[in-house]
This record gives sequence, C-alpha cells and structure tokens, in this order.
Amino acid sequence: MRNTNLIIGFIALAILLVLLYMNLPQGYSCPDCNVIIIAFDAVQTSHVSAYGYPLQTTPNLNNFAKGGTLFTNAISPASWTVPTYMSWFTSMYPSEHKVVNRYSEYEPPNVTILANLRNLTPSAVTLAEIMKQNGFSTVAFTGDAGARGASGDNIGFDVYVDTPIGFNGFDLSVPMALSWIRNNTDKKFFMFLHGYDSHGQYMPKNFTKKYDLNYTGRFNGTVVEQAALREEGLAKGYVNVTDDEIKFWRAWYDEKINDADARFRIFINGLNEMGLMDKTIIIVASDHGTEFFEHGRVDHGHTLYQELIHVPLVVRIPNYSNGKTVTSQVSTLDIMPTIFQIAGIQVNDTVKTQIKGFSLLDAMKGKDVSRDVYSETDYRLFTHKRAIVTKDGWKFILTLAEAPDKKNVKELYNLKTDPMETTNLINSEPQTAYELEQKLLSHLKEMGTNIDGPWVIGCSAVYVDQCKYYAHG
Amino acid sequence: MKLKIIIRTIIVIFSLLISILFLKSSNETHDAECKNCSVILFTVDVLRVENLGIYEYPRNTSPNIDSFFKQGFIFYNAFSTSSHTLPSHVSIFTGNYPSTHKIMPRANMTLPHDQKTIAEIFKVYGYQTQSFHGDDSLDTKGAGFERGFDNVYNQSDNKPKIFDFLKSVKGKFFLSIYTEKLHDPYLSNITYENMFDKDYNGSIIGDYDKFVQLKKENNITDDFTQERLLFWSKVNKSDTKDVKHLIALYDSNIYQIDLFFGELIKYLDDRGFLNDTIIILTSDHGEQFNEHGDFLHTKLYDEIIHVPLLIYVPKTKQTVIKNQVSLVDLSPTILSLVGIVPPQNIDGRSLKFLMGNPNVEDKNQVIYSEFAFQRAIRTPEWKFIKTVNGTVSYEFFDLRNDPKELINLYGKNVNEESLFKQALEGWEVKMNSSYVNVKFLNSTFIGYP
Repeated sequence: MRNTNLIIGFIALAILLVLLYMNLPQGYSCPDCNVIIIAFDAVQTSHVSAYGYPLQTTPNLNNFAKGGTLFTNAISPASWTVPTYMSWFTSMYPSEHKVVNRYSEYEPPNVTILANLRNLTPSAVTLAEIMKQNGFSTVAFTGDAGARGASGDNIGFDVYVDTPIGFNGFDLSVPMALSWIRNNTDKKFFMFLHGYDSHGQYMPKNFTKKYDLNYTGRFNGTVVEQAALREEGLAKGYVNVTDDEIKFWRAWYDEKINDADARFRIFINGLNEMGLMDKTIIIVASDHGTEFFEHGRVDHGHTLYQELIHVPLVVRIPNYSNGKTVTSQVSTLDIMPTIFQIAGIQVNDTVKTQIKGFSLLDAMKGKDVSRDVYSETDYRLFTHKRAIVTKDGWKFILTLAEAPDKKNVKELYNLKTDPMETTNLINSEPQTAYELEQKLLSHLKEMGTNIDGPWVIGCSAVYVDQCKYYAHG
Repeated sequence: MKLKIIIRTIIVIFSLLISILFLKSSNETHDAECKNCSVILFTVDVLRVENLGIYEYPRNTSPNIDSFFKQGFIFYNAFSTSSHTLPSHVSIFTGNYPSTHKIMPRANMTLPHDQKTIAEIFKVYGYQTQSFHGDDSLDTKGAGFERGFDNVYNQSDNKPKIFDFLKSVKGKFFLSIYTEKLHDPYLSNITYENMFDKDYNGSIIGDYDKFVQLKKENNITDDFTQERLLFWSKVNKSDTKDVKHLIALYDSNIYQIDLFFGELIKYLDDRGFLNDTIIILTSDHGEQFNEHGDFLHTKLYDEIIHVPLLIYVPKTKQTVIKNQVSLVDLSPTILSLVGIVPPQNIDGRSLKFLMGNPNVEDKNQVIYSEFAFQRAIRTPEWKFIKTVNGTVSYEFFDLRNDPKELINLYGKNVNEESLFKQALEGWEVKMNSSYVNVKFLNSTFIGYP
C-alpha cells in the first residue's frame, strides 16, 4: 500500500518536473563570442558542392560546413541584393522595411531619391544597432553596389566599408577584415563580411575557363556581355542562347564561385591563426542565387524561382552541432534572431514584434522547424512578384505585374516532383492553388500590401545606364 | 502513515490542477463549425425581416421557419448591400460590395473572373453544386450566377427537381435555392389570398387566376413589366386599406414559401441530412409599403436593406446575434463554417468568431449599402445616406431615437454628422465608387406606373 502510493507520488512529481523543464528557456549561448556573417553574394545553392553539385566548386566551404550545421532548405525573402541584406539586418520582409529598390522615387532627371531605411521605415531597428547596444564593435566590409551603406545597411555599424564604388569581391574585403581584426583584439565584434565575387557584374580576376576548357564561341566572359544578356532577357522575356553558350556561362559562374571559395579560405585561415575559431560564431550565406537560363534568362531579381531564392546557409557555433544537416525549410530572416539567441541578447517587445524570423537553434538541435516561407521582388520596377513556398514543397507565385504586359499571373509548382519548376499546375490543382493564393494574400494583407493598387511597371535604375529599354519616366 | 497522507494529498492536488486545466479549455467558447457539412442557401427575394414570425411579427406568417431556426443563429441586424436583387445577390455570392463587383441591372457588366463566387470555391473543393432559381435577374448573363454550379435550374417550379437532387446526391453538396415568389405583383393562390385580410373588398386583384383573366381582358402578354403595371393600376396607394391588403397578400406568400420550407425540412430530417447540413435563410432586400411614402425597393432605408439572416448549424443551440453585419460577410462565413479558408481579398469577413461568442467585442460594426444614385453608411446608432441625382442631398438619422428614419438631422449640427459624411465619402474613394444617374433607370424599370 505504502509502496504503491510512493511510486504514484514520484511519478506525479516526475511528470511535474518534466513539464517544468520543457517550459524552461533553453539554448546554447556564447555571449562572449564574436559574430561574423559572411555573405557570398549571388551563389545558387545547386552550384555549391556541399549541396551535391558534381563539380568541386567550394571545397573550403564544404570543409567549413563539416564544423557547423548545413541548412539545405533555406529560402531568401527576396531575389536580389538591395532588399535582401536589409531583410537580414531587420528580419523584416522587403514590403515591411520598404527598401525594395535602389531608389524610392525615380523620375530622372528631377527626382531621384535614394531608398533609405531611416526615411522609409523610421521605426525599424537593425541588427548592428542591437549588437552595438550589447557591447559589440560593429564592422562591415562589403563590395558596395547593392550593399552600399547609403541604403541604411550601415545603420549601427561603427565601420562600414563600401568603397571603392563598384562590384567588389572578397579579394578586397577579406584583407581589410583580417587587418581590422588584428588591430582590434580588445572587444568582441560583430562583422558583416561580403563579396560580390560570384555576381554577374563582378569581373573575374583571371578567367581560365577551367570548367569549360573547350568553349570557343562568341562570348569572352565579360561583365559587359553578361549585362547585355541580362537586359535582353528583361526586355524580351527570354534570351537566345545555344546549349554550348549556356554551358559556358555556367562554367564562368562556377569559376567565380571557386575563386570566392578560395578567398573565403584565406579569411578562415586568418581567423584560425588568430585563435578565433573557438570564440566566433560564423554564419555563411548567400543573399540570392543567379539564374543561368533555367527559365530562359540570366541574372537575378527578375523572378522568384528556386534558382534565385534557394540559398546556401551554414551556421557554425564553436564546439556545437558539428557536421549536422538541417533539412527543415527556413528563411534567411532567421539569421538575426539566431544571432540574438546564441549571443544571449534579449530584445524588447517592439523588436520582438519587428522580427519575422525564428531562431535556428531548435533546428540545430534536431527539431523539425519546417514552415511556410515567403519571398518577393520588385526588381527595378520591372517586375512585382510575390511567392509562398510551403513546408510541403508547394510553390505559388503571384506576378502582380511584369514588363511588358503581364498582370495578375499565377503559377503553381510541386517542388518535390518538379524541382526545376517547369510544369505550371495552376489549372490542374485548383484546390492547392486556391489555398496557397489565400495564404499568400493573407500574408500580403498582414504586411499592409494593397494588391489592388496600381503596380507601376517602369524603371528604377540600379546603375546609371539602365532603363534604356523602357521609355517610362 | 503521515507519508501516505502527504503523497495522497500531492496526487489529489495534482489531479485537481489537471482537471482545472481541462475545464478551462472546455469552457472556452468553441466556434460554430461543421467541416463535413453540406450547405443549403435559401434566398427569398424581397423578404422583409419584420414580416417573419421569428423576428416577432404579430402574424403567424412563418411557423416552419420559426420553429426550425429557433435552434439556430438568429442575426437581428443583418443588412443587404443593395436595394436591388442583382447587385445584392452578386454580393452574397462574391462577398464584395456592388462598387467592387460592379454588377448593376441593365449595365451588361461581366463579373471579373478573379472574383470567385462561393459556388466556384465549393466546386474547387469537390462539392456537388446545384442552383435552383426561377428569376430572370439571376439569369443575367455576365453576373456569374452560373459559375461553379454543376447544374442551374431556372424553371418557376423547381420543387420536384430539388427533391430529386436530394434523393440522389452522394457526398458533400452546396445547394442554392432562390425564390422570387414574394416579388410584386403580389399574386396568390386563392386558398391563401385573403388569409390575413379576409374582409377586404377593394380593387386590388390578388388572386392569381383572376389576374390572368385581367391580363386577357387588357391584352397583356407575359411581360413582367406590363404585369406589374397592370397590378399596380388596381392599387390605390393613398388608401390605407389597400396598403394593408398589399401587405396581407405579401404575407400570404411568405406563408406559402414557409410551407415549402416546412416540406424541405421534413424531407431533410427524415433522411438524416439535418445532422450534416448547414442551412441558411436570407433575403437580398426587403420591400416598402408606404414607409417614406414609397413602395417596392429602390431606396436604402432600413425597411429595404434590413434583411433576415438565419443560420442553422448542426449540434449548436439558439444564439441571438445582435451585432450589425453585412451580407458581404455571408459567403466567407459559410466557407469558414465548413473549414474552407475564405478568399482574402474580398470586402466581407467571416462571422464565425461572432457565432462562437456573440458577446465578443466587435469594433467593425459599420456596413454600407448602395444602389445607383445612393450610398449609405450605417452603424447601430446612426445612418447616413447620400443621394446624387442631378443634385446632391443627404439624410442623417439617429437610429436609437428615430428607428423609422423619419427625422432628417442633416445640417442640424449633430456632432457625428461630419464623421459619417467623411467616412462615407472616404469609402467611395477607396472603392472607386461612381454614382449612376437616375435617368439610366426609367420609371418602368423601377416599377412605378
């Protein structure tokens, strides 16, 4: 009698304790660690060897990932640079932070107002601001262009390097970063290290055609040629290239990725030499990918297909989760809250409401955190698209407007059976199409988007010589 | 010994805590819901809310409707989006105000295909969909009433087909039944004609057969407008006895519709449909019988736009809902009740939250109503009507003190007036709403002889 009661009592107590334990805040934290975000601009996941690409484009990143957690299903909230880094720095969707193009008003020659976070969304708090408030030195070494500080990317950074003007790579930013670290060993630091090495407008330093030695066609692999192909695709909706030419341009891309990977190794070696690998949380990611004719065109920002929004993401916490893979679908909006959780940073309720991402720590512990994610683009006012990718692998894309004359076009893809998004199921799967459309519209409503509003198709230049195909003012 | 007591106490406290948690969650109101239900939508054209027994009408016009919906959700303050069938009915089907769907009588508009009707959505989800209506206006090309329906029947006597359908249907269905039996001319089978006004000896011809005779004598064909003109030519509008008789004829037709409803419910009940069918009764608008000196239905006074809305959901009990709602809310509500997410980009919203908890605070009790040359905005306390008909005129009513909308307070320095004026005009801009000149509607269209 007594024994039974004792057992029941202990079980009850044990259940109580388990319940309490489950509700306790959990997490690995390293409040004294440095934090570095390394951004490989424009790298498509499927061209990264760690993700199964047959060519060894990224041996160093592969190696690095073995010491961290590789996320195989990370989706970017936008498909080009300007909106994406702002999303990383605020954990807000582009429609919310509103830095969706280089200019917020573009009617040259009289009106050319640069988009700036402070003007467009004054209430937004940035990642760097919060890191700084929490005792970090905050530094950024970027390749300018879409990462130019003037957009508000520099808010909260003690040091923000975005010179020289142009599309600069790790060849410039890595030495600057290592040099800064060497001269600033007294405080913990938060660093944003960025390189345009793989970007279509980055001229490779020594193009050897190593991934396509036999090519002898009309292209030399210059940024001028790439820009022309990009503009042709935007104007016409497609580009006329042969299979050999497609192979060439992909080889050009792969070589640039390989070069970036080598420069990345220099940086990691530098950190190693300084004994910082055990004291630094490192997140490696891309802002977006680059299309190389998977859907008939080249470059990025113009669509929301997987080649543009499925990005590489590796999170390395010293002595934690080595070599693990997370397949849950996540968003790179998650970078900011992940950093906060690992660094042990508490934020106030306003910031909590602002943050739309979720910490990846649970995922790194093996929990399935797969969720629906959203993405959008208003690239140069040439196109306005919004998409939802569900955790079950359904993709619904709504084109609000696209030059020359697309309006309200809907696409539905089953990424499990059609990962290349070749077969539009919008008519053959009406129920899924309807449900996903409502989910997307509901998300847009939450962000305050009025989809009935006039969606202007025109041109908001990123570079001065753009917009020559569009006669709009 | 003491240990035993202590341990037993722990166990008791623990169980108490757990049961409290359980009770707490079961005390939370559950939304009305029936995910495996079929849906029957019964829309009665021209049905005034105040002429139904369940809304406390002194005459026993609707015993079957009353007794059936006594166990349902009774909306006391539902309002139509228009005073005319076509725009109001499209609002019911799409969840959008007329300024959004733009379907107007005689305007030859086509409902844009991105505005999905409730039938289309049910179809997407694999329901069988049938529409039974017997009115010209629902046949209007372009209005979209046929969209999403497997079959549309538009004969005047659909009753046998309705029962045929119910007899053979397998799986979930959406059934839309529409009757215009209450529409003028108010003609009735002789059995019922005088049931509510036995002593009438005036000139109104309410007996269906007598009217057919009258038509022959006057060489009138089966033209609806001609028939209406003929009927009204026998009515002395300034004679209260005639007005009373019109109402009595009207009520006798409610009684006959109610008989059909009784048959329908009995049929459904006998075959077990009542366990898994949601049934809705509503109207696209009411009717005037000399309130404001008018007849029929053109203006936006409450006697026209205040409509019945009765919703039966299996396994729920009587719930009176006093919140003011609009019929744009009806289709999103129906979809939510069966677990289908309603379209996000419509003017209406799901009222499911209200049905689960009628006392919940609802700050959105503003409705709009519109027809051609008029727009109205209404809250439970105030009604503001704008008329653009050559000139612009306004009416502003204090509904708590003047529920019959007889005292126009516009220009009388009421504080709320400018608020409502701005709200209405802001809505017009937001909806891109344009007034239609009344010339477009000639007198025969409106029905005034």
